[in-house]
Amino acid sequence: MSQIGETTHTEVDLPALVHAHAATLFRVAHSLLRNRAEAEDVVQDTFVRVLERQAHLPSVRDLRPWLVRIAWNLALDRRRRVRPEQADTLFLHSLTAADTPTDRALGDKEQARRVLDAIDRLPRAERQALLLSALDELSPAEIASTMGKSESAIRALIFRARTRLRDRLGKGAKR
Amino acid sequence: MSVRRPTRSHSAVDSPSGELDLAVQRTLEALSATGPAPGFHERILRGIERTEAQSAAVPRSLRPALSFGWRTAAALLLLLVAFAGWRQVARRRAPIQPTPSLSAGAKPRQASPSEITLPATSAGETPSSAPTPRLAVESTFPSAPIRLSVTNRARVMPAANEPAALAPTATRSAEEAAMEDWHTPSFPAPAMPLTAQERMVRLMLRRGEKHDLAALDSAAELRFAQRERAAMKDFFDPPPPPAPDLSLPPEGGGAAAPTGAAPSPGSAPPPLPSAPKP
Repeated sequence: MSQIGETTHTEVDLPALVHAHAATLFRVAHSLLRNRAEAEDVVQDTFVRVLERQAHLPSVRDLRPWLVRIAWNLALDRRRRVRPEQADTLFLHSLTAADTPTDRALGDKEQARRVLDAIDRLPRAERQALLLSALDELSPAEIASTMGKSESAIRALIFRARTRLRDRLGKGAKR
Repeated sequence: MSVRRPTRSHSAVDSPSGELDLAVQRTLEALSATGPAPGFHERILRGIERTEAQSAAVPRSLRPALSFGWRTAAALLLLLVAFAGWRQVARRRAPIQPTPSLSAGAKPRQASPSEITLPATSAGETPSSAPTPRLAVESTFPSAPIRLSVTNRARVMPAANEPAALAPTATRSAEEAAMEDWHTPSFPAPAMPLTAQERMVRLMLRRGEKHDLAALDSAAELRFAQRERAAMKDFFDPPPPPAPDLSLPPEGGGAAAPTGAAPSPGSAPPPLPSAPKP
């Protein structure tokens, strides 16, 4: 059974592949980078990698988890170059509506910033499981395939991530 | 799989932890709701075409230069490794300096960090106050005082692996060498850097998080794992339906349950509240 975007063993129907998966990959990259331009670059680099390895495409069983894994790793590499403070500012601006009162908007932004900081400081596997599950675009099996773990391990990671976030944010609020 | 969204029917939103859960959920929803700007697909395809065109052009013109550069770098690396190895071998083969001996009755002295001196033992021999520390010794063979240039904190030790170097100018017994070694001031060794595991344990203790501290104690970890399994089951499974309110009068005539009695087993359960999707 041929997958979307694959016509022959070595030829890749790139436009079909982009239309099928680009939006998901954008959200995956954006969840880590919180910067639209950087996320678009990551999506572009992902498909460039796919073209470089198009000879291996027939051996890929699950195309979507494979693409998500490439995009995630590229986003991680790019994140080391992008300062999180710069990345978060634009995203935090987009969180609040224009007609929100200023003091409430500031409070919401501050809270969201604290949540994003806490997410960034989670252990790598917990952060990945939490962010991928929050996108609502990947099934549990796809997330497990992306991370190379079982579904029950993914559920445990998500639970621990949530618990850890609650503990850390609670400690931060008490200070 | 979507994480169960905390709703008012499941979590006490007024409690701090409920508010935090809601804050986390709102932030995650905002992240997932962010979509690409219009014209995204076209931009991606154009960018890919541009990248492909550049990568197709560049290797042909720069291939000889690139390969030359890599070969040169590999050759330099090999030279460096060879040079370092040669220096190691040369140091091991360097001749050992002759070591002085202490005469009987001479007191071994605590050497100051800037000099290593020994008391004069033979007539006319006085320790010199030259900038280069000098060892004036009495030896079994009549010879000029042996001068050693030593650096700060250096210790004079007999060359154990080169016995030929000791003779013919100075001899010393193993016991004397051991005594001198005993009395030589010891300097504290520099602190070793922490290993990755030690840094991790230090971080875990500093944070004091339940998961991490439980991992350090197997019994506590077992108890923690049991509690976590129960909490996880509660987190992912749908909540039980609320118990029927027996204080309200039953609707209609007919089969009304007696006040205070539990609903009969055959009766249909009340409709469930809107349970969240797992």
